[in-house]
Amino acid sequence: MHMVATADESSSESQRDEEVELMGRVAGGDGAACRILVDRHLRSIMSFAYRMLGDITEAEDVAQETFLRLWKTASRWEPKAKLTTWLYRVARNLCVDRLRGRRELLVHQLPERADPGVGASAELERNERDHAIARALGELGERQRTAISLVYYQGMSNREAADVMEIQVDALESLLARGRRNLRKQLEQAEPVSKGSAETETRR
Amino acid sequence: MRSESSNGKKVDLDRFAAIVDAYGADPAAWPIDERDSALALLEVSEQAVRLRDEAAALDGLLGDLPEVEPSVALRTRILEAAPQPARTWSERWARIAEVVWPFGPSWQPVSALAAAAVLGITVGLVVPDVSPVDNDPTVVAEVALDTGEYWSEAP
Repeated sequence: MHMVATADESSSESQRDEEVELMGRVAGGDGAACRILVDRHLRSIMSFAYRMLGDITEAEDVAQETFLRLWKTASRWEPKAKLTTWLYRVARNLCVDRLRGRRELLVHQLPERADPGVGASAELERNERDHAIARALGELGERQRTAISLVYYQGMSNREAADVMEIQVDALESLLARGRRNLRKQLEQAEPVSKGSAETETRR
Repeated sequence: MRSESSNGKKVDLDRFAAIVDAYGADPAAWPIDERDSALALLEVSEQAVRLRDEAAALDGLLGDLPEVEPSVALRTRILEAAPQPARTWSERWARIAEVVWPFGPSWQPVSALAAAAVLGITVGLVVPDVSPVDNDPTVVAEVALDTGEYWSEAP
């Protein structure tokens, strides 16, 4: 067990070393290093911002601003936190700023699905379901939505998500449980969530 | 994303219910230090299986939401704003020349200026110098006065 932990610590250390090296290259204007970071993180940051805001244009603005801040920070980067944690913290703060002042979150846009094999009525039904889920997510409180987005959609471990939110793992777990309960309630009003169905086990 | 080490905490049915309540039915999302014990409980407890399946129904709905893809334009904007490499002196001069003369290659105005300088120097060397004495107003006055008319002695 101790050996596993040591291997894990060593892997985490080498990841930080690589991040420091990449950020040093970014600060020196190395385009290849910038492309590596964008390819690695843009999609997930954009996806997180979209889950938080429910608006693709706003999510793009948040993703862009997050990376601009990363470029500005590159020359004085210190590996206090993992790069991923830093990026999600910045993106989350930007999302919170945008959510302030909104009385409710309405999901106007959903990405197009490219699935020609589905008939018109099935397509309509699926669109309705997508909107119901997006609306239910939008009606969660910001902290519950953040917790669910990070753990469920971004695939973060409980410790990583708690780090991003700067809370204890117990508090994260409580947010997740309450968030899922609220989602279930919202979705049951739109469409009953079948109990005991194992068919839908596949995630993401 | 999930890649932490396990150190094996014991999970009873209450804790199992709390885990699936928070993290859903996918063992990959469960806390790493409780995963093995939770999976072992799943093997022997029908109640645990029922709790897992209830959570799976909600997971299925949540997982159905389509993904978003960042546009090429967004990626381009981000990369264009990235730090640029430090310029060498020759690159800096080229940049200044570009600002001063944005109409074409900088050798054109530089050649024109050089040609004008050469022409100026050549003209300066070739044209004979005019003596400053010829134009001296004092001398002219002396000449005008030295007619002897006013200075001749009376007969």
